[in-house]
Amino acid sequence: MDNNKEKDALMQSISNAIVEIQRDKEVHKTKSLSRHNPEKVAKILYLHALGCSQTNMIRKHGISRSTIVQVLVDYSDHTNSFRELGGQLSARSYVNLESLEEDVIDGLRVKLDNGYEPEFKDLKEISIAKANSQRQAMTARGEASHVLDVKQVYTMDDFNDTLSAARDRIQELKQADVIEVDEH
Amino acid sequence: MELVFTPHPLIEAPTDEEILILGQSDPSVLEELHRAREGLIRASQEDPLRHGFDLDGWARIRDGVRDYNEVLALGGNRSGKTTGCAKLVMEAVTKNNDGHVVCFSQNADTSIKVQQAAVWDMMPKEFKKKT
Repeated sequence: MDNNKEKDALMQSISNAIVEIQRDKEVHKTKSLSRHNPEKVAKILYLHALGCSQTNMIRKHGISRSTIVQVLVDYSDHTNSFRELGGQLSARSYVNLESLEEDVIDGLRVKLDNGYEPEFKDLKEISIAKANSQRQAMTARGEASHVLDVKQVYTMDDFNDTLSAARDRIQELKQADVIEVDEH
Repeated sequence: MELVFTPHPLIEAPTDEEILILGQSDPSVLEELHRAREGLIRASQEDPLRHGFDLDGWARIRDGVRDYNEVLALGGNRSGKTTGCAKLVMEAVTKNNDGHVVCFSQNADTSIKVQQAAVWDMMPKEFKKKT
């Protein structure tokens, strides 16, 4: 599936959900952004699906926090399926940026061969974009972090078994210490 | 190497006599016992959600939440109300994909200093990522 098809599928899924919620709100005669400004709702859901944080939506897109929260609450039953589609889009964006970075590095290498003095900014911007894109893709797919704990974990059962084995061993040692003297 | 058994209110420690007998006759068993006990304490501190201990009252809160819409948990200072509820909150958010959990506090200050700190402590390490 190419980028446009993924975007279309996501937008279609969002539109269907909005229609469903609109119907529900109309039946209950509830005042709702889904009825009065469905485009804004679609925008919030789309950004959320791509892994865009609420703070980012407020700062970059000028949407109020209460509006974002209200929309995400209204669509909480749908957001998982949006995120699945959004995750594919974000992942593609990351792979594209990675490819672009490789092209930039290749171009830079050619310039270096011709005597160009490289600057930090040559790679900085694209590296930041790539890092942001990767974080969005991971967030959209529900991956919170890469932290893995591989240490051996002892449970209460492990400890109780070990304590019990140690006490059995102590009993054996105590019995071994007893020397019976046969007196005739 | 000196083996120190960290004092803990819920995990039994070997007696001095047991430590002496094992230390003299079978140090490897004593080492393994020390490793298991200290590992258990460390796991409960590093990952209290999965490996921590429950106080008796927390089970009563759990039973109440399962059977009723509202549960009033009363207790004195440092009786574990906040920590127990933080554990319930983390269990709820890690075991359910949908829905919302909202925590209320007296004011913004106690929310940050007490409630959010307790939830943060209870949060599994893999979720502790600042964005």
